[in-house]
Amino acid sequence: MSEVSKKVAILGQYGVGKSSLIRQFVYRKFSEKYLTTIGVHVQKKVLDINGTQLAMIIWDLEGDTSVGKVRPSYLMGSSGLIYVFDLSRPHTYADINQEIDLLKSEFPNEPLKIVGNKKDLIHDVDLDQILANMTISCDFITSAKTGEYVDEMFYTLGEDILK
Amino acid sequence: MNLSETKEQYLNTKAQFFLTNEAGEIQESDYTLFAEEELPDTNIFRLHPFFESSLLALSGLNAGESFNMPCIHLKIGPREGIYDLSILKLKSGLVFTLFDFTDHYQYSQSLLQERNESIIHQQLLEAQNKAISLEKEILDMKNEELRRQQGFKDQFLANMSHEIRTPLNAILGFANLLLNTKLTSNQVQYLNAINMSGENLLVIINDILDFSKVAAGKLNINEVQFELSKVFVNLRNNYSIKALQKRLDLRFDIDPEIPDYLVGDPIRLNQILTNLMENAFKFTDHGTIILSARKVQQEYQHVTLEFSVSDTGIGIDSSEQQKIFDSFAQAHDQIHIHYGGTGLGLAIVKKLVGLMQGEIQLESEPGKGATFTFTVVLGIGDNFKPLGESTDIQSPLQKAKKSLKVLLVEDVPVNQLLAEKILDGFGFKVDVASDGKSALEYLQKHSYDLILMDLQMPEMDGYEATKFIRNKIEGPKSEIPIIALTAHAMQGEREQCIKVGMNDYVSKPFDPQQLFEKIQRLV
Ligand SMILES: Nc1nc2c(ncn2[C@@H]2O[C@H](COP(=O)(O)OP(=O)(O)O)[C@@H](O)[C@H]2O)c(=O)[nH]1
Ligand SMILES: [Mg+2]
Repeated sequence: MSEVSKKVAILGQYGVGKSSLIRQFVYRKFSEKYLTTIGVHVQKKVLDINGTQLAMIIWDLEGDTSVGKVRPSYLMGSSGLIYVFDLSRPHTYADINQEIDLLKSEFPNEPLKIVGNKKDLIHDVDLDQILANMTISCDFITSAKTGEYVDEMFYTLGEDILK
Repeated sequence: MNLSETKEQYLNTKAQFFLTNEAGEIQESDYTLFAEEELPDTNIFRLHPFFESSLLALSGLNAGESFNMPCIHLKIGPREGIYDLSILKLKSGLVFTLFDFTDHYQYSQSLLQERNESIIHQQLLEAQNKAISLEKEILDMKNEELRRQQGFKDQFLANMSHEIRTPLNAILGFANLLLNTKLTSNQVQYLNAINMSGENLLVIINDILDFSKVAAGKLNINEVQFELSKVFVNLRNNYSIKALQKRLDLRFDIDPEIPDYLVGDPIRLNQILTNLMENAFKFTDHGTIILSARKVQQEYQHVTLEFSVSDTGIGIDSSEQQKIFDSFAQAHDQIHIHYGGTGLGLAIVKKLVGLMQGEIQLESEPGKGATFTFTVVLGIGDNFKPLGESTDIQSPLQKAKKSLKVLLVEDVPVNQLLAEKILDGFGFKVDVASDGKSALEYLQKHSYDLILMDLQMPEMDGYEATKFIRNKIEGPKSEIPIIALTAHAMQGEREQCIKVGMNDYVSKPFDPQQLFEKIQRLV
């Protein structure tokens, strides 16, 4: 049984639910209370991906208004990226195209998941509307609160990393 | 203590060095922050996932190079804090330096938290406002669409009822014309049936149109000055013939205290009264129908009037009395069977009365009759004049100063009756001839002050009879005033009348007032 360690960084503006997604994924917990992340929290979870034990080391980064402001050393050595926005706050995806372009140009070979979070706060009709108005395609629509699509998102990223 | 000592002491308590081999095995440390016995492992990469993942970044570094990572949360053994880290790659090993900035970062965290919370709050508010204004926009659009549909429906109904009314009026008109021609009694009966059905249909169409307006809240009450006496004259004209036909006693009992000049909607008031009168006539076969009006209250500019229509007809069960003002409610039960029509008439009446700030009530005893009573509030007009001083409704026309002898030439019995009754009301003596020929016979035997001459008649029509009188008879009788009575204002009819020597012309059904004035002028 082989084990590999891979670093994954989770990015996006503050308050979109990055820490909550990790907490849900790693500890199966959710809290309504918002605690701003400062600096870096590192969590680890071992995933069984088709027999391979993937030690996913997730870097929960302090949310900032732009990917460009993230300290480059934080992203060094990462194998996968997650970009999260908040479906209930249009401000968090207003500039999503530039953000994603920037990430793709800096890390052209890294798998990247674009995630719309807080699905539980959005009506299905409005969700369709939001997605239809975006010029970028979203990989996952999640809820850190209900856990919907959280595992799927991390596991899919894990699979892509191992490919 | 000098400055460098102070600095060293300060740094010593806040920093820790680890020297490891390339595999991360700890070879040396000062253990200032993390005591040796507290460390769960001797390999630094297994102390915390942070170190494990930094191993991945180290492959990119050459000997002598380092990188810095500020603000890393670490929990190793029992100790937890926020540290700045630097990792230096040596030729054969690594140096990790940790600085404990927990206090500093905890303080900035609280500031950041405050800032982020307020910004998030702001953004949520904006999103909410946007959603609200969007919702409002959608609502406006829906309302607009609803209005459009309602408008379309109203327009459709208005058009439809117009389209139906136009041919219906033609049917009724021609049926009436036919009634004035020579017919067998069977034919008269059939034509009357056509007439009645047509008129019922007309009422139904008007009801539906009105009701759709009521439903849409579009039924408006006008505010115009009008003469109440004219409303009564009109009703009297319309219903006296019906009363004659059904041999009912029709009475108008009007309080002379009511001001004649009022402000309101005479058409709607007439509609209410007509509706109640129609019902009264429909359900009464013997006895009396009374329309009465009285003044209940008068304020500075308003007057409350109470109208009632009572009959001696079949009456209405108390259980049905409850429902009688509901729309459609009676569509399937007894009331509908009794009342026929759309079942909307009284619902509309109630609505109209309500719009005129009044109330409507029904009192009835089955078998003895029914009385509908309603109030309305009307404005008082400029020309203040009590009804009592104007037209006397009981006998709406002034009695002639001198009683005249009139020869009525008319072939249709119902019309004979009506005209007779009206002329009687003027105080005139009336002889009736049913065609031109017998009129000439009457004229030879008696002398008259006036002839009222129908135009279309069997044997000898009105034109011929008039020509004969003017041209063939000698003496004063040839100059007797003749007023033509015509069923329909046909083009050129008037000219024709004057040409053959008639003096004037009234069209049926005639306004008694107008007829009276014309007679006064001629005689
Ligand atoms: N309803 C709901 N709230 C969420 C969800 N994810 C995060 N939150 C809330 O959003 C706030 C910010 O979450 P957090 O994970 O700290 O965001 P981060 O700044 O991106 O790490 C917290 O109050 C969470 O409880 C979600 O999926 N649904
Ligand atoms: Mg966070």
